Amino acid sequence: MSLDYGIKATKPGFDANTATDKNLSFTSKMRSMMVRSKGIATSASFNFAHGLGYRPAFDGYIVDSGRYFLNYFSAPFDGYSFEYTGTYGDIYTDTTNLHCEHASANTLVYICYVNPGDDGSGAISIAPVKDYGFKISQTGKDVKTAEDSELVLSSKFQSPLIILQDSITVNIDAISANPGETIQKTNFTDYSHGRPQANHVIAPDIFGSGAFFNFSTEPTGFGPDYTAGDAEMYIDATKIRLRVSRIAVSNIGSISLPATTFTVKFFLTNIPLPT
Amino acid sequence: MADEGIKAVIDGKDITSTTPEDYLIWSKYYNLKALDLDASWPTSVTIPASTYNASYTITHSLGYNPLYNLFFKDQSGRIVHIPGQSTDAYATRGRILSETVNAITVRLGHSVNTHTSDRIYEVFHFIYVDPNSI
Repeated sequence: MSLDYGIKATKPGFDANTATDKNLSFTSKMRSMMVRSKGIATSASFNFAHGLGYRPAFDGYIVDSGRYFLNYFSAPFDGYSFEYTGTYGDIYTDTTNLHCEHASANTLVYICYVNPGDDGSGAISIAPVKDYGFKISQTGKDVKTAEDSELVLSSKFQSPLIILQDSITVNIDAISANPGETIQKTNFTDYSHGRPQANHVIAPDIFGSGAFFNFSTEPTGFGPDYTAGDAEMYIDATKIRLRVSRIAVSNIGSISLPATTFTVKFFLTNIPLPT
Repeated sequence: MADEGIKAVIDGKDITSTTPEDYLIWSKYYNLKALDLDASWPTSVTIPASTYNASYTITHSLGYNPLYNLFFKDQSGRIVHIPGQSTDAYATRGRILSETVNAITVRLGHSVNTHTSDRIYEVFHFIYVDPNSI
């Protein structure tokens, strides 16, 4: 039997009777992300024992002098003129730990979710700190016996709320490279986020997706000629900075890249990042 | 404007707080809502022997670019972000290849191309109904 009950709330300004799913601030029909824990890797090879029994989803940052860089891993296209000059890190989850690996301690920041990053088999629920609150299970699951991973929402965990969404634009001038030349340009734009600390920010387009960089030809590496680009984004206590760098390398013919405007959409959550 | 909805604060915080960081849920703001897994969505991708990469496409048919959070399970059984890179024996990388308003195409590739048999990777995705738009 298809069950048609639960709760929902609209974003301000929408009618709950007619609003489509994307205009709901919350609906028990869909799973919400729930934060299991967050922290800083206090050693170069660090394990957080999540105790969930499956491989949970996660997010991560490299923190450097109060700046939280979204690309904690080595970016798919190697960048140029970026502000983070240290080594990149590695974060993964297995059924026991969220693991952080970096050359230095206190460099990687993680957010570990309750939500499974795999099929969720082997789930174990986390004992509540307090025995009150509310929870809503997924359709077809008994709320009295559902594991945490089978809940769409629980007051035992914080769900990231989107408190600000906007975009940042960076302009890069035209680039021309003659045979034998390597030409690089970089630029950045700051956005004042207005919160008293750095919060978890979501910006899924910054890592060289086709939608963002609009390469006419996908860079394949070190051929006779190539063009590439990359982006770096970080949040600190006052701002979000987006930096874009592009490079043109010509070994045979000339290369001309037109002036380009890069726009990244970002979503600021209510989750303060660990300090 | 109507001042109604639901909210719950973190234990120890005041329900009258105006600070969003104090809240577990507050319908004044929206939270990310994940689509249920679609039976037609791929759950694995195979990089054939001696081949550097393979792509797969998640067709969500939302009609707009959604937010998402994507992962793959590497050859050591660890969950790694897309985009991102694994430390498995093949230094497997995942990246977003392209996006349309109805689909996301992802590419997984080996930085170390020494495999002589097919490599199968499991993929996991959170596709949110929430638009990636202002």
